[in-house]
Amino acid sequence: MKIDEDKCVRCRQCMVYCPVGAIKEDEDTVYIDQDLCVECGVCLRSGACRVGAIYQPQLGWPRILRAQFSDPLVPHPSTGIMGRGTSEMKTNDVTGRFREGEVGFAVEMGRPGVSTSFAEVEKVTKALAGRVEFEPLNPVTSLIDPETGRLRDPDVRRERVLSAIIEFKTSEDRGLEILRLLKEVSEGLETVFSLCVISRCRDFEIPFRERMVTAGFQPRINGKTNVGLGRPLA
Amino acid sequence: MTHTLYREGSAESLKNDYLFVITGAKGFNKRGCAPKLREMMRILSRFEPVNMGSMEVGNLARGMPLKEIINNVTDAAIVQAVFDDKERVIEALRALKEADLGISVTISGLTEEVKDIMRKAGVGEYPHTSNLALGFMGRTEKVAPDDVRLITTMCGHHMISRRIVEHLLGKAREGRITPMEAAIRLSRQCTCGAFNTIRAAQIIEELSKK
Repeated sequence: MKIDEDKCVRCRQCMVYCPVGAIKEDEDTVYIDQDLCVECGVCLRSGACRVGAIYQPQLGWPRILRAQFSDPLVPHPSTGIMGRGTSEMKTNDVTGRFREGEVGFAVEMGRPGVSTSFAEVEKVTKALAGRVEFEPLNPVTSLIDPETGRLRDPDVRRERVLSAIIEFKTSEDRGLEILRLLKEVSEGLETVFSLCVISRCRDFEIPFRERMVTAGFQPRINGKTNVGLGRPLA
Repeated sequence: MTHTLYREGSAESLKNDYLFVITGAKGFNKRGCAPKLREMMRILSRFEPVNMGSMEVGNLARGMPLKEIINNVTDAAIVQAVFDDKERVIEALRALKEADLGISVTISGLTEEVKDIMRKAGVGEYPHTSNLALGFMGRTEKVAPDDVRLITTMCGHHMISRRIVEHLLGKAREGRITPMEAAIRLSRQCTCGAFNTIRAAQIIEELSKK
């Protein structure tokens, strides 16, 4: 996103809307820091600019990734849908993507509200490669070699996005090993990630939950529950 | 994705915050599911959601009329509906079960309360799949303060900046804007319809007294 200096009246009304603080000012101008801007479109959609100075230039590769991962109104070419991830457990009652004895993970890099570069994303995917099954339909998976976790195009590393979700699964028996690995990797990051664990239920209980708690990973009091109304039931 | 999962707050604060997410399964029942999604939205609308919509179409909080939202829903939609009352969630879920349209339904909210909602709505013997949030790790000093995250995490795609929250909170403290006016302005930034305007106004009211 950019600001047309000729139109801008320096009212600064747009500055508070930017989720990553990329709209800045110096003595003469209000401008958008192109390294920090994640192309989420919030400033443009906010309607804060009354003189139409904010505009969206055409984005080429690899900068277009910023919009695809950050702006929920831009469909991602790898999934064909808007949003940053897949339907993960939302349709698991029909797809059977996560089966009994398996644990799914979603590592949302940059969330909450910090943003991330793909260099940071790669630190995590490299650590996970060879240990987990990456979700093939996920937008991050489409950018990496699942065998090594490396980005296929090194130019992607410097791109920044509001968040990017790494989705994968493993067996329940290896779940704790992966949680410990993620904790270790998090200590070497320049950003944050939000983490969630997906598991099939048995009798209103979540079998992997007890193992997580025993190992010191305490889930939050709120979560997401697939109530099982989808058909045909997997 | 996980956009309705990371709402923050105490059990007291979250007890009136539930989200339905409804979508067809790609390769299974997504193709041709739009009429079923529309019917499910009509059902949910009877129980007075705080907000409802989908990214492709828009949502109530962004000023779009209900009829227009429902009519424009396509097979690709991920429908969201936010409720601020557990009893209405129970009734809405019971009605969705009775309609038996075969489209997947998830509910985000306090995990134990959602189990209770399922029992009372008579939906199945137990949940099918659960998604548990484990918080965040890494450079945690970079995230917004706890109070601000109570609000920013209600926007599923983090379209609401900490700066606009702090700006409007300041105005509410000075009495230049009501908590509900601030909440409505914030809700317009959320493109998917997951933002709970009622809860946001309650939080702003509490924070503005501090």
